[in-house]
Amino acid sequence: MTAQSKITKTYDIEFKGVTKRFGDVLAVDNVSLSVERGSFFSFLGPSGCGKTSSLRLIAGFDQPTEGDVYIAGQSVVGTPSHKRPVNMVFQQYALFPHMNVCDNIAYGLRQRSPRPSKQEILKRVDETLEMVRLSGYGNRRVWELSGGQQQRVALARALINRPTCLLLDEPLAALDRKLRSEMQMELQTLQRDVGITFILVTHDQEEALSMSDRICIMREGQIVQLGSPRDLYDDPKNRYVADFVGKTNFFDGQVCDINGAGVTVQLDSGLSLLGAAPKNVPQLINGSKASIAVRPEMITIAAADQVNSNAGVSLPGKVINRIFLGERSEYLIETQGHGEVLVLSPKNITGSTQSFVPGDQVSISWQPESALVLADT
Amino acid sequence: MKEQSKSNRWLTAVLLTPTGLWFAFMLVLPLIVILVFSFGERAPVGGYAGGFTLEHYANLGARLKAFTNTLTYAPVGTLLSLLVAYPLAYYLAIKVNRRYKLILLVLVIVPFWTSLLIRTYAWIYILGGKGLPSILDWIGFEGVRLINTPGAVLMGIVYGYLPLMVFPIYVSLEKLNKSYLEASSDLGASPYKTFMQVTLPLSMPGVATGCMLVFILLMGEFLIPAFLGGGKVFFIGNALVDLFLQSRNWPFGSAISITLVVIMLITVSLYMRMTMRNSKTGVDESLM
Amino acid sequence: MRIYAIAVYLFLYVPIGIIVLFSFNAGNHASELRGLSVQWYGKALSNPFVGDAFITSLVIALTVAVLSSLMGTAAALALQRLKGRMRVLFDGLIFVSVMIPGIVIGIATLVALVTVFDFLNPILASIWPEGSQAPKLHMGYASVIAAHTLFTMSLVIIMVRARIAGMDRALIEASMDLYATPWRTFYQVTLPQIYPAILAGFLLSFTFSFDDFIISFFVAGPNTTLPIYIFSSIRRGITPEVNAIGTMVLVGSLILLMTAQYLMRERDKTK
Ligand SMILES: Nc1ncnc2c1ncn2[C@@H]1O[C@H](COP(=O)(O)OP(=O)(O)OP(=O)(O)O)[C@@H](O)[C@H]1O
Ligand SMILES: [Mg+2]
Repeated sequence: MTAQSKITKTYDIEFKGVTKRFGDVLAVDNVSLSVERGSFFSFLGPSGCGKTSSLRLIAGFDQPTEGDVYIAGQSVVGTPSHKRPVNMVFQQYALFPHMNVCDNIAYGLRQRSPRPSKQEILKRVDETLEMVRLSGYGNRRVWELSGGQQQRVALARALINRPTCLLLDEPLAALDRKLRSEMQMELQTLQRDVGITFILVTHDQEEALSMSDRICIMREGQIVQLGSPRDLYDDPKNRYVADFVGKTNFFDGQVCDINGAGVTVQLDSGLSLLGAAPKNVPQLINGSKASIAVRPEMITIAAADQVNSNAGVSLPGKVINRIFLGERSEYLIETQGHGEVLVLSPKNITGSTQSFVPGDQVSISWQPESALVLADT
Repeated sequence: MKEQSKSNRWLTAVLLTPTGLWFAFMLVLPLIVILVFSFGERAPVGGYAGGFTLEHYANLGARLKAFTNTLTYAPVGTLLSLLVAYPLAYYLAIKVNRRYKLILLVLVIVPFWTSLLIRTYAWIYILGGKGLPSILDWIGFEGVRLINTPGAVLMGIVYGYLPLMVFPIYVSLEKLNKSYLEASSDLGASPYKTFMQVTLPLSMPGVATGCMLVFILLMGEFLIPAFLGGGKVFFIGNALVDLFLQSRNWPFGSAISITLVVIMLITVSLYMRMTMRNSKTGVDESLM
Repeated sequence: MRIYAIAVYLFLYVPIGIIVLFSFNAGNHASELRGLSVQWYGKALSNPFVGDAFITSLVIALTVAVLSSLMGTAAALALQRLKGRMRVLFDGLIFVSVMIPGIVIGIATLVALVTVFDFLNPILASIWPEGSQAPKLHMGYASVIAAHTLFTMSLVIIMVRARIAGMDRALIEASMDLYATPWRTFYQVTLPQIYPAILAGFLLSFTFSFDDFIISFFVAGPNTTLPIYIFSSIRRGITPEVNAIGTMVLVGSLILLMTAQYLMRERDKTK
């Protein structure tokens, strides 16, 4: 990163030490973060971790107990929601049932003073309808629309105002799988086209990984890790993040040696395994609890009698299940003393065209540098 | 922030003031006045004279019949209305073809929108000498008296309050999702068991609301016993009209009114607590 | 089941049918049908007492309906944001006002107002300038309206409140999020949402007031409402005139009901 790009970076949304309490419940706990202009940012975390609460602080429905929220560099603490240049797509859409599609979409424009002319409003509504591919639906009642169409109306109703930042609270949760992935694509394209900052709340990790520029992983109101999907996937800070982002095999144990080559962990089964320490995380100490984490795609699988000589670590096991996923296969391997291990194997690796069926004795192996040593929290 | 919540409080106060004044002058003040009167003396020409006596409360026994009548006819009448109304509400909500539903429902409500006075008056005709009795005469049952009997009063009650009972039950049955019934029968319950275990419990809020509305109105009923009960079946309401407008014994009338109010407060609160416990939803406010 | 339903409908409508039938009675006695004619309609319509009673009832019922829907809605909205002791107090008052029998309301209002008027009238007379007639406070329109409104206002509060409770809070947040000020949010989102409850409350208040006999009986003073007129003519001895009035009221409310229904449907269509 050059010095220059650092200077020109502007942030649309910033939290500085934001805390939100509801009585005894600490919904957001001392959170500081910044969202770059024009980026796609996601809050990811399990139910009740404070994602919606954070979004509501930006929208202005709630005020922080402590700390400051900035929109486009301005502190907005105390500013009511109708004076904030952000718009929200609600989880259940919250479309006004007593208005048709047009009136719903035009709602925000009609609140402006001076109010835009009728033709201007009509023109903008038509444009926006086209953008969300709902041209011709303007006169429909909102409850006559399908879930996906309602979702797009909600999106249009927010986008037409050209907000500084668009807030999306699990907007795709109510849609079926196929529609959801379609809408994910559309949302991404739309975000690139309009160039507005999007902040998405989700508990679906695939959704967050596929769409976001940056992801903020939360737990119990606190940020656990914030970074690009790649960073989170390749360099999870701890076991919680690794578990949340993608699938991972964990082997539990204790740190017994740290040196230049990596970190050695003595597993509960007695075996010692070498792994790489995650970058920038200095919290591993000798004797502390840790896990070896290996992504399923880092593991290779071979017949038990064909042990690969240059494999770093290898364990014997038995295939107990296989799921065919088209271009890949997913194997569940029962190992002796190390539980079940998930292996993702491409269809054709040169030299090993064979596939395995449940009951086969196999050997699994990985390189020590592709295994990470992660602290438990 | 501070400013805003201050102006909010102002707004709340302004919005509530008329209602508050109304309650103060039209509810609290009159109740206090009759409470005071109920301890006063009767003026020689009728009306009220100051003083403090418990005599009127001690004398309540003189109108015991009105109390016992009201306290039996009101619950019995409520129960009868429920028995007549429930099957009809069930039919309207679950059995009837969608197309006729609205019109049939409106037909139940229309009588409610027309004067109870006129509807009750119709029964004077029907039960009176030239009505049903004359037909019965003609068939061979001679000398049957219908009007001015307990039966006539109960029938008038059912007739008058049926719509008020049908409507809340209908609404709660209508809300009941058909898939519950299907699920129940899918799980092997007979129609009877489905009704007892699913339909009836889920319609309890409507039943509770309907019963409460009818009961409250019956406790103060005047017209039905006055028209259909003659002098024989009379309620507290009839006693009150007599005391205030004929014999002009205001203190005694006030004592009776206060007693009635206390009885209502106790029974209705008990009733609400009971239904609230039995079905978690209790009396369904949205139906009122 | 079907037969049962038919029986109940017969039970509901035969008496009404009989009223209507006897209103066309050519004879003078309410209980004997002697040929058909519309003479009683003519008599009822040309009877000035009937006309006056009708106008009185109409004015009272309309005022009651307007007052209770305005005040009831305002109170329901305010109570929504009220907490603590005041809230409990108002809840209690609402409960008591719908639960107390109408007859007790009538009596208590009569007694209280008579007492207050007896106390105020001499004072008014003494402070009034010499020569001019001092106003005398008495029972009348105002007392009936006030007593009716007590009950109907609570009714509106309960109905509107239930509607607000059933409303999706996110709609209001959505409106605020789309730059509408609290006021505009109120009349663009909240009001349209609770409007059916207000309308229902208005209609219910109107019918209650128009039909009420017992409260008016006590507090109407010299004024005669339609139910009071009907009651006293029934007491005096029945003539088919009462049937004619009853039939006209019945038809009138049917027409109103159907118009309301029709208007609502049209409104839904055009929107
Ligand atoms: N208005 C409120 N009053 C009291 N507690 C609240 C309120 N809103 C949220 N909370 C609490 O704050 C915590 C965080 O809630 P939040 O809605 O932000 O979770 P979330 O991450 O959006 O969860 P989900 O994925 O289930 O939507 C929860 O423990 C919740 O119970
Ligand atoms: Mg949430």
